[in-house]
Amino acid sequence: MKDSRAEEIIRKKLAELESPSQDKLANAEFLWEKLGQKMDEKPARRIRLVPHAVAASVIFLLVLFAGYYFNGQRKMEIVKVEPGSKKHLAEPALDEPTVSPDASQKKEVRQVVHQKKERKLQSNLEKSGRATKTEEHQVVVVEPDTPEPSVNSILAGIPITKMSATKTLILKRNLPVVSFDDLGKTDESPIVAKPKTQFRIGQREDGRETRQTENPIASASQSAPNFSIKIKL
Amino acid sequence: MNEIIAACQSGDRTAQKKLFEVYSKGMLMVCSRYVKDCHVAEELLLNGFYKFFKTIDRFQYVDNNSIGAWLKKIMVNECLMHLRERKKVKFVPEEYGGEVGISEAVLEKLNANEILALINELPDGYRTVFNLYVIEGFSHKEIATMLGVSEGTSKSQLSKAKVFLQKILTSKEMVYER
Repeated sequence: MKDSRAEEIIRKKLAELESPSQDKLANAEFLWEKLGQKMDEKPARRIRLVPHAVAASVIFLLVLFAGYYFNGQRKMEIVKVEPGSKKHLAEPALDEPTVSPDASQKKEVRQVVHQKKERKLQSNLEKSGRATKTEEHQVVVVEPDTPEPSVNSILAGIPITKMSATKTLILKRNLPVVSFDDLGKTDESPIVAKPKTQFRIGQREDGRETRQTENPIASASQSAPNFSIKIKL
Repeated sequence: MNEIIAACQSGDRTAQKKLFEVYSKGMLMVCSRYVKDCHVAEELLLNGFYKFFKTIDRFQYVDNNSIGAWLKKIMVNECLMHLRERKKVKFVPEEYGGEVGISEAVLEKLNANEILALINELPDGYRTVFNLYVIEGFSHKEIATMLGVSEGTSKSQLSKAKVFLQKILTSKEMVYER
C-alpha cells in the first residue's frame, strides 16, 4: 500500500480548502459582529472558589494563632501583688511569683482558691445537667422539740446511697446539714456544718488495711440524741 | 499583508475585519475537521480569532504562510481544548494492529469537500488522531503528549481510522466502478 501517497493526496486537497481566500463566508458579517462584541466585552470577573477557601483558611488560622499568642502573653505577665492586698486575695494567679505571706493570709488565699474551684465544678455539673443549684443550697433545719423519728426519717430521706457518684460528691462537698451537736441551741438561724468524709479503717484477713468511706449524715442520723425535737423545712 | 498585521497590532478594527474575512473560511474548515457540529465549529473559530487578536503583539510577520500557520495552530488547540473539556474523545488503550493502507485511486477522484465529509464520518477519537497525524503532521509522540494517551494508543487509533476510511472508500470505489 502506498500509504504516504494517500496521505499526501488528503493533505493537498484539504490545503485547498483551508488556504486564505477572498471568498467570504456566507455569514462572515454576522460572525464578525459576534467577534467584535466578544472583543469589546470586559473579561468577566471570575470568582474562584478555591482561592477564597484558601484565604478564609489563612485568616482563620491567623485569628487562631493571634488568640493563642495574646492569651499566652497574658498568662506570662508577672503580676506583682503586695502581700495582703485585695487583688492578691481575690485573684491568685497560678504563676504568681512566690511571696511570703503570713499563715492567715495563706489560709485566706487557699479559701479563695477553694471557693473558685468549687464554683467551677458546680457550674460544670450544672451545665452537664448532673446537679442543680437547689441541691447545693439545701439546708435542713431541725428545731430542738422535733420528735426523733421525724429527724431520722428526714435524714434517711436524703438518698445518699441512691445518688449518683457526682451528686454524692456535691452533697459531701456543699450540702449544709445540721450538726447534731448543736441541736439543743435555740438560735433561729440554722446551724450548718460542712460534712467531712470520714474513713473507717479496718484490716483484712490477709493483713492489708482497708478503708471504708463513712457518710457523716448517715452516721449522724444513727447517733442522733434521744430527745424530742420539731422539724421545720 | 504586513501592513494589515501592523494595523491589527495597533488595534485597528478595519484591519482586523479584513484579516478575519480572508482567513475565516479556511479556519472554519480546520475547525470542521475536528468538530462535526457547524455551530460549535463557528464558536471555536470566533474563540480562535479572539485569541489571535489578543496575542497578535507577539506575532512576527515573515510571510503570508506564517499567518495561516499561526492561526491554524490556534484553531487546532481550540478544538482539542473543546474536545477535552466536553470529554468527547475517549481513548481505550489498544494494541497497535500494524500499518493499514488507504486506497489512493479513489482518493484521487474525490474533491476536497468529499474528503472532508469522509473524515467527518470517523468517530471522534479516530478523527482527532487522524487529523493530527495525517493532516497536521504531528508525530505519535507529540499526539500522545497532546491528548494524554500512550504512543501505542495513538498508533492504534490511527490504524483503526485508516481501516474505517478504507471500508468507506471500498464502497465508494464500487460506486465509481459502476
